[in-house]
Amino acid sequence: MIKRLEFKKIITSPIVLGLFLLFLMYNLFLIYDKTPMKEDMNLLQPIIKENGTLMDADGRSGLQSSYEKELATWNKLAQTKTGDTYEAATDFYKPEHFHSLMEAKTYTDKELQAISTLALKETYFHTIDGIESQYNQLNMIKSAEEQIRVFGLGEGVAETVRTQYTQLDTRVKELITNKEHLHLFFHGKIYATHSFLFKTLFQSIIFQAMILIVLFTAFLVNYEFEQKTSLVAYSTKRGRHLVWDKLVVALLSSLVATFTLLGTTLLVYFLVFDYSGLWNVPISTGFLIELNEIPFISWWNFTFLEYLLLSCALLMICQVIFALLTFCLSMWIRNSYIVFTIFGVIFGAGVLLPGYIPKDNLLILYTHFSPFVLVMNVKKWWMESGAFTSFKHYEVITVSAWLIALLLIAWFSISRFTRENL
Amino acid sequence: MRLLFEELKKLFTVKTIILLLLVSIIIYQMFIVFDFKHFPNGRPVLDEFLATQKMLEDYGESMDEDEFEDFKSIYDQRINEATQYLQSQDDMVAAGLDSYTKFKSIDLENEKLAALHNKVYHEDYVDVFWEIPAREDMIERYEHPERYIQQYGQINEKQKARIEELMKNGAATAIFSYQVFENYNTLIKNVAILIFLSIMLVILPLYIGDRRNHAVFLQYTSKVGRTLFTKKLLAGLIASFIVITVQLVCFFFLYKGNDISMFLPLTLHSIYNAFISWYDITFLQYILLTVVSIYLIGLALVLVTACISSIAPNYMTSVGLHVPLAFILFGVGTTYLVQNLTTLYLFKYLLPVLLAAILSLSFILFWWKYKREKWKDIT
Repeated sequence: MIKRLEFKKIITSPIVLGLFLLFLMYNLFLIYDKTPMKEDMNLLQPIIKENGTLMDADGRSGLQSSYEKELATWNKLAQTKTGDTYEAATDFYKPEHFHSLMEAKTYTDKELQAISTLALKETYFHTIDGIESQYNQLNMIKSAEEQIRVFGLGEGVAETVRTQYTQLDTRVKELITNKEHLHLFFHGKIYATHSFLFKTLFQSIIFQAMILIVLFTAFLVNYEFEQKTSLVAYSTKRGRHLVWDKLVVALLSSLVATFTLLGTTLLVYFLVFDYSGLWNVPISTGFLIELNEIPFISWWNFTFLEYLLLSCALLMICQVIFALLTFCLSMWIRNSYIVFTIFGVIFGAGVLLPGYIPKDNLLILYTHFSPFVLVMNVKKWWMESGAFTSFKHYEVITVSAWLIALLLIAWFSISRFTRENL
Repeated sequence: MRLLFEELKKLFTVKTIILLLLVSIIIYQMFIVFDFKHFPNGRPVLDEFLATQKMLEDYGESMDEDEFEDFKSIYDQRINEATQYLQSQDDMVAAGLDSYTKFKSIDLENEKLAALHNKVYHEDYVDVFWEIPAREDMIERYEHPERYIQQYGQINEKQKARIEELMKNGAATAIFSYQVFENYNTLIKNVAILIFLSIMLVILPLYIGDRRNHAVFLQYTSKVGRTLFTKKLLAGLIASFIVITVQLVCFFFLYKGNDISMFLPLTLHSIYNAFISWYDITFLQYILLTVVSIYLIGLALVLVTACISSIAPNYMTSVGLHVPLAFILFGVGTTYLVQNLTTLYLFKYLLPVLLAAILSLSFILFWWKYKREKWKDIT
């Protein structure tokens, strides 16, 4: 009963609902902004239907023969229309003749559609070779040494980084034998879907949910103090027990808020962008590589769907951590607006802290195990993510350590509170 | 007067000051310190900056034909120095690189030569080799003033006329540095964000405190009590004036370390700067313009924040209402009202019109609240 009333305090405050809707609208706007590339992206699905996603020798020859057949058909058409033949479909777009062809309206819309589909098929086909050679040359040990040099890491730290990257090196070899890198996916260099989904959208959801959670948790915990009813409410034993109810409600509401925000945004995203046939593609596929040429090396052989679900789960746990942190702060600071500011300061300090640790001190690695650093790099969760955070169980260790520590602090704060003088 | 002073004391409690300090330190470390530490950022940007400084010392505010010849002769001198350096290095001579021209046309595909190239630039950091491309670029820009116009791409008649007018009035020979301008532009945006955030932090509890304590019920029964609403606003205005001033003083004190005082009296319009304003202003005047703009936005912000503070039933609502406000103000707000002021890209009178609109809107909002507050029932 009390829990329900506490929950009502959150759900009936117009500001929480208002902000929630505003955030949701913002996310939908982000997605809307990207819709123009949707048609182009979905030209991939027919290719997959024809040849499957795996581009090993078989898949590749299948793709090649279908591509060559289509190119021949196109050249036959082109020969009858203009007398030209093209060695590659992308040659059609060369500015020398493309503009004049367009002005003369030589080709119908349908034919233009066909050549653009073919050009895209060609791009996917040609990318495979590049991916294969890039992965064969991939040297994790070298990359570790390079990072150690660039960051100027001391010996102790460098040793740990080397150990991690040696493990990654075996993982890369395994990845190559599994042919995880040769699966077709939306071309990263053209659409950058991974960055959009896991950086732009996830990052904005993380901050939005965080703002909501800090606001209502601080409000809920300090409600009696701000309403000046604390003297009445906390004069009885059951009254003191109220904090437990508040903690449970705050955590549950945090989960509900995050789930709704994340769920709605993702639902719309996947309704707009059709991922059919791609759910089971390994997340480490080379097609995901974006313009910065950095491959995504996941520690485990996750499919896209597994990766997505795990990331969603991790995001929810991070929000629980933030709710717990706010709860602990509110138990000591009885003014919700100061709690909000202090939370911001702690967040900033958490992100900045690793930068102030000497480069030869192992602390520089330990300070990266914080939820604040964690949520700043969603795009590289469960993956090779730079010298400081490439540990196989980085995400799990970070959240479990912080969860346990914060639960202990919360328990301590509550037990102190139950004995406190009014 | 005493009431005003008491209200001010309530705004500047020790707690608030500590909070302000903490927030300022974090924001400075995250967004501002970088542009102090790394100015000019990297090479040959640094060399370009040093060359510009020397140019100013030698030729004054502009560089005429004779002075340009002198500038070119320094460039030739540097090439000689580079050649001498190469000749003094055994490994360079052995690789057949005994003059700067040969060094410049090095085949970077050749691994051995590329290593030597890398050695000069990234291992030994030979200054003169960084200085030459910087000076080369500056000479080219002087020789091709038409590029100043071309960089603007699609422009309408009025904008074109403005650029032509500037070229006639000496922009082609005037000396300035785009790095100095860009650096200030980035810095002032982040400083403005910090200032607006500080104002929000200070003003947010303005009315909520007394309302939450139910002190209003006592105050509003008396005539003097009813004047508290305006007194508090006045206190808020003074407080934010102090906050803005202290923040700006701190910022400009640090900014002095960038050592750009020689650029202050120069006009912004030069082939060495990418920014074009609708008005003929110097860098110092531009800085003053940003400062005035920050004060005026600060004033509007106090009114809006005070309004929110007097309406919001609790701190959660108050902070929550500030979230979208901050989102708009820190993003779009600073882009149009603190950065690139009076830029040629935008409507000529955009700045005064926008500022006037924002100020009058916030005044109206506050006036409406004030009227209601005067006759409010306190049951």
